[in-house]
Amino acid sequence: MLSIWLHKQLSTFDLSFELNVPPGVTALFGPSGAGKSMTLACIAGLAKPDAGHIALNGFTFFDSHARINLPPQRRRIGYVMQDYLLFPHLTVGENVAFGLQGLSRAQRRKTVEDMLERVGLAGYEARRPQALSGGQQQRVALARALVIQPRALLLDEPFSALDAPTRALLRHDLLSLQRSLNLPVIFITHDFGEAYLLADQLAVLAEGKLLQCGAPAEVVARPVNQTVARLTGSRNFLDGQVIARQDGHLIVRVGDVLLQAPDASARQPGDSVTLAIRSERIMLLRKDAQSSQRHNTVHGAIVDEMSDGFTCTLFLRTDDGQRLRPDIDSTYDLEIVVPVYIYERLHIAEDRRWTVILPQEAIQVL
Amino acid sequence: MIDASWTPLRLSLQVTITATLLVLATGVPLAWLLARKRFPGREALGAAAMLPLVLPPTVLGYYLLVLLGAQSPFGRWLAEIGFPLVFTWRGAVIAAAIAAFPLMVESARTGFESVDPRLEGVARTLGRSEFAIFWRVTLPLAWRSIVAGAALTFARALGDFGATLMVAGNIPGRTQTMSLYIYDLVQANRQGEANQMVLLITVLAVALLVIARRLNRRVV
Repeated sequence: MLSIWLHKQLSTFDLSFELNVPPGVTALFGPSGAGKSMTLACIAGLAKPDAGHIALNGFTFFDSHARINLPPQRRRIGYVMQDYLLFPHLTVGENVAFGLQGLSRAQRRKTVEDMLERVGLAGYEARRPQALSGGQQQRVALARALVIQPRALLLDEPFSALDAPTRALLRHDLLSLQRSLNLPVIFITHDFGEAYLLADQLAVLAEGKLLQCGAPAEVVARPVNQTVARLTGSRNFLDGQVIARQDGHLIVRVGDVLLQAPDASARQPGDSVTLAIRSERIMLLRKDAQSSQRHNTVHGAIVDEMSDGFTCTLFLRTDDGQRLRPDIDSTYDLEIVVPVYIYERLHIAEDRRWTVILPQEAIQVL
Repeated sequence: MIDASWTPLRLSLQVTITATLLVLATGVPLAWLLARKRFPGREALGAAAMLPLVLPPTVLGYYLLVLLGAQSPFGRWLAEIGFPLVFTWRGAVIAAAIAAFPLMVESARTGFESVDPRLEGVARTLGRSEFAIFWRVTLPLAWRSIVAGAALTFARALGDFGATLMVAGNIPGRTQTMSLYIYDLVQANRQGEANQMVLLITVLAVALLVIARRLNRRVV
């Protein structure tokens, strides 16, 4: 368990939070400039917090009160920085062997050989870093960090500089590697999909503050505020007012419509709330299906759309009298995401008028 | 007469090589300090190291003469321990070294600054000592600039006239280096010999400049 409590004044904001990292992958997720890289530098000992306490399995690295600040050399933390930072004047083998000390020449060679094989680069010892692809460089950097048998592993944007197929491959490799290592691993990303894919624990950081920490699915299902909801992919934010609480849910007036929302604690009739509605959970009602559902159903027309090849984002303007955002000068009320094959099956390209259902699971009360 | 000309050349090489080694040993650590460490007085130290570049060589030589001569306690002490500098070839070394010092510091400093400090950071997380990091990461990545600085230092030390003349004088066979010898040859109207010496120095200086420029064009 890596426990981090740190406070550091940065030029535009204060980095200040507490986080516990159990063995497994923790994603430090947030927008650029949230203090993520600085956090890793503090853990590795390359930057010094103004105050705080950093310890690994009860072994203190930094404690401002006790005036402890172990140099990075004595922390034994594997740290793979952005751009991998291989030593350009050394071969791949020399890079990997850099942290090995007190071994005989033969032992060193064997260890480097084994490690390179483990990251899928057997026989690359004599190559120069400049002659490697980005993905290979990343593997060498990982091998170099792992060869010292680190007690924790820090990865700063490990996949951001790679092309998509390499990224997918290395993500998969990291997962299997992690299972065999059983170390606390922190990796930084600003890509929510990547964070969700790899993390056992998702820590959302913005402007130096830890906004939320938990299992990825949990964070997505129950974001603590609008920033987290936005960062984790919510697209529809509707302002409303609680009308009533009944049968374990809230009745919220949103624009011209009454919606049923899950009962978030301590919300009372009269309270203003924001509903975040996840666009991938909004359902289009098939024309041939008979729906018994009356509530959380709105009618409208698709006024715009765009596709990234995997999914289509539809912009739905609800009919007059059913507007969800009547006050806001917006051409549409809801963003809806459907897989491409659904788009094709339902002939959405030709058929623009739809009835949509906003299931309670899609709605988060903020 | 031609034979006589080899003594100044030998002396010049002796002085210049010693001065270059001295500047390497002192200028490189200072350059590293200026490039990597933050401490009070760093700016002032950096400016002081540049001073020999802007001072007229005679003024520089005068300062050295005052500091190292028999008038100063330091100068007297040097004489007492049997290591006088003024009017000896060692004095010429000091003069040439100080005149060339800024070139070494500036070049090496640029070299050290061009080494990504994050590489040193990585090396720290890998458990290596600061000493090992300097020798295995920083120095190998900055060596081109250091060798380039040494080449410039060599050229500048070889050509020093004013500071050397002030500190070491112009004693044939003892402190008369090439630059001083050329001056004497011209004064004595021995144009032919002067031409030979001038050509030799020019070829050497241009060669050094080419080396320095090649090295400063970074390959990695």
